[in-house]
Amino acid sequence: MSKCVAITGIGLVNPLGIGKKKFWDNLVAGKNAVQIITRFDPKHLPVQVAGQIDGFNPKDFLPSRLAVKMDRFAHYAVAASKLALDDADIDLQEYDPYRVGVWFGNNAGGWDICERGLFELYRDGAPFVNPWQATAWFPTSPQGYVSITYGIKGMCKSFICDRASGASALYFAVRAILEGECDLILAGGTEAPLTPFGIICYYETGVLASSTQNLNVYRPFDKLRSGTVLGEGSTVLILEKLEDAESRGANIYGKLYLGSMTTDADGVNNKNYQYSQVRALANANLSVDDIDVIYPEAAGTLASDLVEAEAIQEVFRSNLKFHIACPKASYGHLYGASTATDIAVGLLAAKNQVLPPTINTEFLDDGFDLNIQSQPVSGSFSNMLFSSRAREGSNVSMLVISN
Amino acid sequence: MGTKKYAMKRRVVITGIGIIAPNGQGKEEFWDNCAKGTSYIISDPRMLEIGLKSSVLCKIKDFDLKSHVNLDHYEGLSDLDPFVQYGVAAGEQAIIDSCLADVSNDYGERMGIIFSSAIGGTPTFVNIFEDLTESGKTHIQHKSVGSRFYNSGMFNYPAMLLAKKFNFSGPCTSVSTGCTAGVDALGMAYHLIRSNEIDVMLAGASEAPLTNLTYATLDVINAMSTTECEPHKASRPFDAKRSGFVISEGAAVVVLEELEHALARGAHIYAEVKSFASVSNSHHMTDLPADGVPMATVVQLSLDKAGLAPKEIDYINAHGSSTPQNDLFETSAYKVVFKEHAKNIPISSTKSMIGHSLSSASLMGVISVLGSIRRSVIHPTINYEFPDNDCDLDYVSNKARYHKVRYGMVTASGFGGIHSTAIFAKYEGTAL
Repeated sequence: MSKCVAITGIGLVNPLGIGKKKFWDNLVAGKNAVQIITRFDPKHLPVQVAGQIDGFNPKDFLPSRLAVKMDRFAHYAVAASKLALDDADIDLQEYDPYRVGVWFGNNAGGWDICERGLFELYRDGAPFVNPWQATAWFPTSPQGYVSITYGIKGMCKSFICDRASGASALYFAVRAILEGECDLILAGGTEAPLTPFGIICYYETGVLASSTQNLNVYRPFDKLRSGTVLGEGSTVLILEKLEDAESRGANIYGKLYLGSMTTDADGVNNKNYQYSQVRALANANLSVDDIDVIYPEAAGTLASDLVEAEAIQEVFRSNLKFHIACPKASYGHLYGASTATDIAVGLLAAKNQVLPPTINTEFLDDGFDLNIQSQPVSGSFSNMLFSSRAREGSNVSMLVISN
Repeated sequence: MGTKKYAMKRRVVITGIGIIAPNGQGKEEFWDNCAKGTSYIISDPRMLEIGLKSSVLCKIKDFDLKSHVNLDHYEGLSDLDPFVQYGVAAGEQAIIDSCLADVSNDYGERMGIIFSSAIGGTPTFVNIFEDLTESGKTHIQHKSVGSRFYNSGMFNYPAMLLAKKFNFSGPCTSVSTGCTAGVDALGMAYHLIRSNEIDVMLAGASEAPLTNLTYATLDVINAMSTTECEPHKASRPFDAKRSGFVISEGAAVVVLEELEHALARGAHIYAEVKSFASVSNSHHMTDLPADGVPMATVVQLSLDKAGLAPKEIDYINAHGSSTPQNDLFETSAYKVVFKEHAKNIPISSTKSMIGHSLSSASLMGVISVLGSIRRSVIHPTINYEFPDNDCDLDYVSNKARYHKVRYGMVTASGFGGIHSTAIFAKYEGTAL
């Protein structure tokens, strides 16, 4: 059995830009989309910077009567889905709707609508809670609205697993195609946590960098790192059965292989993270020396960076050429959308033969021997490994080989 | 829709059960009380006081965390949201019931856990909102509330606590697909075992939604029961006077295991998982078409995947939520698929007794089917008093029935337009 699916479309709604071209141009140019939050006044919060999306109008993608019923995180997902379908040159009318699925990661639901509903409840009373709350707030809302907007009727699922929410969705989506559940999947994720309540929720775990002004505070593997910076947005990838993509002459960005998921069940160490990478390599029949670039979790927290750096140095010690790329430093951590975004970056880097810079990381932490570049690098980046690691120790690794 | 051949894969059986439900904290108590046909639904006058139309709910009484788990193994668990506590308690039961606690010590990489929830730790969210806004009087102000805020939104948090305690080092994640999430988690676990990714998976669901935000959110869209009747009769699936569901809580966990693995260690086998299917209606986030087509599609799909003829189904544990739309939608679907045989299949709704615990309701339905396979008893749909001309199938009204179940089906529907089904078979040795 072939262990991979084709990726034939990329849809990006990202702080760096809406659509793959603007996103890519800004990423390679080293632009930093982390900014002072302007959507609301953040001055009372310990975190006042984030990867915020400006200039997004849901009405560009949705009728107003639908847009009003949805939270921002669903707007982003519907938009990214449209961009991905267009990029893949797919007209869903030509597909059996029961063979198409939507598999998304989302970490904690719709924050705008959650706050609105809570204030309505406490200020105005229970009968005055908005009637969209029930379907706009829960984490499967984007999946539901995307399936309705695009007439999709196949198996659809949404996942929560902290930073590995999106990686969980991709892990199961590849399986769903390989096992014959779906022929075509809109896979990825979406997040919109930039509200006071949302930021406090994340901040209170201790993973966020406390920053009120510094826009360069997201520094994966750097000595001066102090935590993650939140971002928002959605990335959707079109996954297809390889044979289908080939027979319709689709533009195949790359092949996504069966992933591997492990858990640090026996205490914090990097053994299970390593195991997820080793198994992911085996699923793609690649050796450690074949890998050109690794896109790690790059959470920018001491605990996570240490596990990743030590594991990667151990597993890939014989590979003398591979790069590490942490594009999320440029737009913030997208949680449910993060792994799909990393994969989008990887595919565009392979296609353009340019690895985008990892901004902010200037002084590698002691003992880290990682090839992280702050400037774009030309070369071949077609064999890529993506690793995601949740705060409590779920690890997902998957391989992409670009043609 | 397209026809597909479903290849023979590894077989998957259920070897452990854990449940924390309003009518039973443990499988035997749950099965006993389901068979008795007792309602656990009560009125809560505070619901009327805050202006709701519905005033009934179903809750777990007398939950004593330390009687379920050794708190030394779960630091801080007693301070976490009830959905985490219920999930861990049900998970411990399931692992103990399956006799796997020792196996995982040297075999953990082939064992994983997938949990699910619809809205996770909403009570904690609400409490923290009250704390940060003086109950809505101020803007949200930052205070140190700790990681319990975030963890109450992590639907895989109970799974992670269990993975660490029992050294399950395979996949550990969660599904968030609302009211189908429990059976969806089972479906994802089933796929991982069938495709030889893993040998043992816990599939769980945990829900503790009983707080004012949940009530208000569901009440305003008229989802909750407002039938004028005694509180214990408020959940009345398929009855003409049904008016909505009754919100409930609880956790359910089953252990899925590859057949040979279970046989080799002499595990008790409750049933074999024959199929899992799930579709989206692409119609509406909450509304359902009266003709039942999306549900008929997924029921047919689960039969096809299991390689079963419609007449082979002996029992359906229905979604049966007691909403006017759903119960008609389901009934129509069963008529489409089972045709004249539809009237011969006993169909019952566990929600008639314990309400709708969102994600975990469908896994409680699974456990109900496992009980029917084992005990040859089908629990009733209670509060069935006034026939609805359009809902005219055999709902096992009001009294349990002795009935041998070889193949049982569970159905679930949820917000977002998701419909999921699973079929379970009595395990009768390798001849099956």
